Parts: sequence; structure tokens; C-alpha cells
Amino acid sequence: MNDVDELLRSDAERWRARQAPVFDLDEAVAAARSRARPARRYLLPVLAAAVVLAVAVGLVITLHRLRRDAPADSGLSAITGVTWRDPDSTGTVVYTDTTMRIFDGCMHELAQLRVVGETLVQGPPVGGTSVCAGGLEIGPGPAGAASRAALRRLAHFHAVVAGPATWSRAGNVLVLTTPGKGTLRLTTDTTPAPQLVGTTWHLVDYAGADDNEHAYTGVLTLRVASDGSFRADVTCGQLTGTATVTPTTVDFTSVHGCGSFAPADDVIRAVLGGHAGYAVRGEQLILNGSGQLLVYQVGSS
Amino acid sequence: MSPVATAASFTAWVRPHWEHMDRLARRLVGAAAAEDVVQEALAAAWRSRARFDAERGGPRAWLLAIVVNKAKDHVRGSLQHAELIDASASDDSASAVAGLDLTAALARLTQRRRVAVALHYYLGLSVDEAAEVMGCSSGTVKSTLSDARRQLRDILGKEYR
Repeated sequence: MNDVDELLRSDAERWRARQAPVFDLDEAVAAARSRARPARRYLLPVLAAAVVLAVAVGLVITLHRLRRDAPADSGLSAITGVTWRDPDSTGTVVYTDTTMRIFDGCMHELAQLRVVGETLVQGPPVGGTSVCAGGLEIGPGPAGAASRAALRRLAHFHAVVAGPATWSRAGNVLVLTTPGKGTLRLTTDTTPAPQLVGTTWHLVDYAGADDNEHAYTGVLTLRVASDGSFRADVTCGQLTGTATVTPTTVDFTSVHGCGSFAPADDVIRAVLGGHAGYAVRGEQLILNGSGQLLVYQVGSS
Repeated sequence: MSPVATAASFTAWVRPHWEHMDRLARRLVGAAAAEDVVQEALAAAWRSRARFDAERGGPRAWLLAIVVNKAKDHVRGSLQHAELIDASASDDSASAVAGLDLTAALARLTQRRRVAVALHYYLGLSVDEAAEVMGCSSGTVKSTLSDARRQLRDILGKEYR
């Protein structure tokens, strides 16, 4: 029988042996001192950067409009906006014209999408978070999602999705093939991927500080509005407040006017009371904040 | 004058711990983002160097704690993804397969457990030294490592004890 301690030690030894040399400390200190200078000394560079950014944003918007107005083709529009699921793992991917949102049941990453010739390539990350609490994964997926076999299938999913992947769609099947990594056959039910904002969600599951998963069978909803406000039910009433949303995180500030009457209330207050990571997988929203987890399902508005 | 008042003295003060800072960042955020995280940590250390108190611990612990904090602010998703890709590119030998399993399993740990594993196993710090970085007791580090190993065991299956 193998020993985890020995496995870690031998893996660490192999890892140390293949690390690249550290970059130059003298240059790094010089850069660090530059970064640490008072902001007012950076006024001109900041202004210059702002101008460059504004020009770049303008170019992106213009290019996007040109692309949108271009004659229709059977390109990316054939695969964007829906959730593609890997039936052999817990991996999902949602493409837009410029991004790809990858979620594997634990890790949620939004990355740039590059189209290189006929291939799709995962670009630099835009945002990312983990929605696991204590390693616990809640949500749809095969039983034993954390097994070795499941993790290997996830590794295969990530490797192929990273690209450069040629792709083809036939019906509700998207085939991705990446040289040296293999092929994925992803499926979709064509339902547009729900968004965090503007959807009414119903609580179905939660995990509190005890790291134990609890199904919830009552009716507690969450809705984040496009104006930055949110409201969430707790047993005795509602939390209301503001929600600042990024591609993978939300900063909640909430006001609550009644106490906690059920364990779910404590978890809702904890998660919706500060910084939280989130991921949408299929029709489920997973929120992780303060080490606790909420899982909501799409409900009727 | 503080021993780290000048750039030259600060550089000399950091140098013995520089590789550790880099390695810890690589374990926590992946190779691609490590340079950014280390650079941010170094800037933070430069800004707050006057507040370093040798009575409370050595410079290595202080610098590594800053790296941990900067890594926490960084994008978390990239590590798992990048490490999984790197691992999947390895050969098919038994050790490479085991490495892939372990890499994927490590990605499932909580941040605190990953930090403890990175410090103790991958940087080679003793439990006491890791406790200094993490700002907790040695007993807490031991139990965190024990929890991490148990969780890895559960993920990797009954071949491991």
C-alpha cells in the first residue's frame, strides 16, 4: 500500500528538480521600488495608460461591431451562449465570441478565447475562483466526483479545451480535437446558459462551517438585479443590499432585519454578507464565501 | 538606521529567501502567474520593511507570509488548470500518472491546506518554520497537514494510506 506522505515527498523532489531558475532579484527590487512610489509620481504614466486603455477599448468595440455586422457565417455563433457538458466528467464550457467560461465542479475560470485559423485556443485568464468548501463539491456530477478516475477525466477535459482545438458541431454535439491531447464530445440541451444577474434562483443545497452538505427543500430565493441590488430570502424575511459582480466573484453588502431561525439562514448570511466566488453550471448557481457554500437552482421569475 | 533601509541592504536581506518566495508563489498560483505575485509581494515588503520586527520572527517567515497573502488575492482558477495541463503533458510512466493524480487531488484542497502542503513538502520547511509563516501554532500546522493527507487519501483511493 502506498503512502501519501511518501507520495508528496517524491512529487516535491521531482517538482523542485524541474523548476526554472528564479528571475533576477536586483531587477525585481528595482521594479518593486518603482511600484511602491507614491501615486502622485505616477500621474503622467497613469494618464498615459488610461489613454492607451481607452483607445484599446475603442478598438475592441469597433472590431466587435464590425464582426457583428459582418455577413452571417457558420462560425462561432454555432457554439456560443449555451452550456457544453462533458458527459464523462464534471467539466462544462460556455463560449462567447471572445471568452470561454470553464467550470469543473470546483474550479471556475473565465478566460479569453482566441480563434487561430480554424482552432479555438484558451487565452489568458480574466478571472477565476474555486467554489469548493473544504474540498467538498456540491452540484450535479457523477457520484464520487473526487475519485482518481474522475480527476483524470477532468484533466483530459481541461487539456483538450485548452486547445488549439479544431471543432465541429453536429446537432447538439460539439466535437473538440486537440493534437496530442485527444478528443471531447460535448453535449448541450441548447438552453441559453442562465446568468447570475437577472435570474431568480431557489436554494437547493448548502454547506456551512461544518463542511457537511444539506439539501434544502423549502422556498428561499435569491435575485441579483442589473442595477447592483440584490434580495435574498431567509426564513424570517429578506436580506437586501448591493452586489458588485465580476466575471467570477460577487461582493455583497447586506442588511438584514431579522434573526436566524434555521441553519440555512446562517449560511446565507455568511455567504451573502461579503466576498464570494460563484459559478453557474447548467441551471445551478454555486456561491462560495467565508468558507461556506450555497447552491441555488433556476426558478420561475 | 534599519538594516533594510537602502535598496542594496534590502536586496541583500531578501536574497537568501528569494528562491523560497518564488517557489511558494509557483505552488500557489502556478508558474505563469508566479512572477507577478512575487513582484507584488516584493513591493509590499519594500513598502512595509520598517515594520518588520525581528522579535516576532525571521525575515523568511515574514516574506513568505506576504507571498501567501498576495497569492490569495490572485486568480485561483489558473493554478489548477495550468498544473493539470502540465501534468497531462508528462510521459505515461507510473510516476507521471501518480503525479497527475496528485496534482489534480491537491487542487481540491482548501487554500489553507494547500499552503501547509506547499510550505512543508515543496519548500521543505519544518513544521515549526511553516507555523511561523502561517501565523499559527506547530500543532495547528500538524493537524492541517494531517487533514490534507487524509483528504488526499480519500481522493486517491484505497491504494494509499
